[in-house]
Amino acid sequence: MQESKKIVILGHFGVGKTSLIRRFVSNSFSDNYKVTIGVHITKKVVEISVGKNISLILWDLEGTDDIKTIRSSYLLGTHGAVFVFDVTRPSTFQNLNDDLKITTEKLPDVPLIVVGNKVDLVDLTDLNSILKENNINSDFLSSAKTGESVEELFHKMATLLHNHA
Amino acid sequence: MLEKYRRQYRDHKVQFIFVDYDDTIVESDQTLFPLIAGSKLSEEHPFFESVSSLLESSDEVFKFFCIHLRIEKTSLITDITMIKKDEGFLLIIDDLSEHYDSYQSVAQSRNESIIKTELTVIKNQELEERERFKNSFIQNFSHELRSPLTGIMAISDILATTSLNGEQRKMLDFLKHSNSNLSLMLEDILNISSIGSGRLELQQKLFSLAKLFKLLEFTYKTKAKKKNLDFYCHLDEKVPEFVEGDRLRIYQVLTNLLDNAIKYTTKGNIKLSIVFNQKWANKVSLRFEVSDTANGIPQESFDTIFESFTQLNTENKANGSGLGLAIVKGLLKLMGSKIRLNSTVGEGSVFYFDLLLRFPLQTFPAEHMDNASVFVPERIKRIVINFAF
Repeated sequence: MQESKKIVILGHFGVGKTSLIRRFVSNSFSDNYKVTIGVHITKKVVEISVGKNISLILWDLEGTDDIKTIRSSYLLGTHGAVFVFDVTRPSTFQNLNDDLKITTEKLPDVPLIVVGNKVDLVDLTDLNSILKENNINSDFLSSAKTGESVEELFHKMATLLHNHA
Repeated sequence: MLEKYRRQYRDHKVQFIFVDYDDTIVESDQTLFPLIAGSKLSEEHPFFESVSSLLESSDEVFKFFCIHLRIEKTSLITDITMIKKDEGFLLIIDDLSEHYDSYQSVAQSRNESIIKTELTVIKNQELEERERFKNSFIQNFSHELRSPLTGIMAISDILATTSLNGEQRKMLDFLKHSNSNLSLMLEDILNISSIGSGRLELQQKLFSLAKLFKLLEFTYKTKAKKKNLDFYCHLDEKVPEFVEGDRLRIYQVLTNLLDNAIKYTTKGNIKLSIVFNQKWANKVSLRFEVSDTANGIPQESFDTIFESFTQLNTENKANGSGLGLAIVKGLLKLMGSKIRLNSTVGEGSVFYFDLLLRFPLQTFPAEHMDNASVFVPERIKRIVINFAF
């Protein structure tokens, strides 16, 4: 039977969580921002090695500027988490390390990937210095608009989950 | 309104489904979704696939809020309750789409507004930073230019004292004239940069407005005469003789306006007037006005002419930096005022502004005054404020 894993996508509102999932699942993008309320759930099968597939069930959670307010029921049975911030809005990453600490407390022993999204809108040199100033280590810098690093981040998560199991 | 909420919360539709522990739907009504007995629940939507493992835990009841479900062609926003029973589990799906849709609109407006504000703040910070850099660059660059310019001017002066033929003297005059223009331009650039960077501070001192007026009258009557223009002056008799303000900057505003008027007027007249508006205990509102009979300014250019490096009359582009009116605007803003303009194309323009200035209520010694420039004869040695207005 195919392995099935639940991934929650976390982060402030407007950081592009839904867009990342849409780019990954249907390879599409929309410039229109539509607020996510509650949770949208989609699924995509990822091939992690020849003949080895894993089914990622993606929980696109409503964005919040306070990670503590996430409904605990949404996190039940989570296998992996992706924390997304918006590289163009400092408010979404200024407290990132605290947010990540709370996330790991809520989801102990769960692989976590940190993603800075919307890199197509900034100069990479400036971005790196800003991230350094804020002491931020992101695993991926992505763009849902161009597709940059989107496939890679979910593939990385699938591999982590497979190895983690 | 109450009825609307009653409908949202009480009259919503609910579907009941019973599922065995092998994930098979045992029984279901079809209130919301077409779920058929015998089919696998986890195949209907990934939500059910991801929560099926929860049934292995010791908890008896699981409640999920605001779950978007799309099964077949039906899309709903639901609250879902899972209750463990001996033979399987009961699934209760509440359709709260209407309620969540209205919440969605509120959240949309709120989030958009917050994001827009954040981005505006960031953009403003960037613009301020660029402005600071620009002003700092201009300041440094202008200072660097000043030293060689001073050298050129000094050498030109020395050269003028030597024996020169007619042709050489003409060339020297041209050189001195160009030096002088360049020096004025640098001064303008430094001024606009100081205003923009907030480094310029007003020096509020008591000064004789009457003397300032006389000085301007003397200077511009001469300049106007050179261009065969008439120059009229009017100082309202109710205007206090002494006021408290930044004499130098008021002078600078008026000379910029008058220089412009002289520059752009080819026939007719220029007029400077200071009119009394209103007075309070020790404050007086005055209107300063400079009018000309130049070509006038089209309405659509009223705003742009006060921007830096803007000149309307292309024929006169070679004269001046195009910063004069921007300096006027910036200085008046510092003084809490605003430059205004009435103009008719083909007839002329009137530039005017109101200033609220303090004036002293009692006699004061002459040494307290700012007598920085005295071109007019000293009329007053002992000053007594005249309240007769």
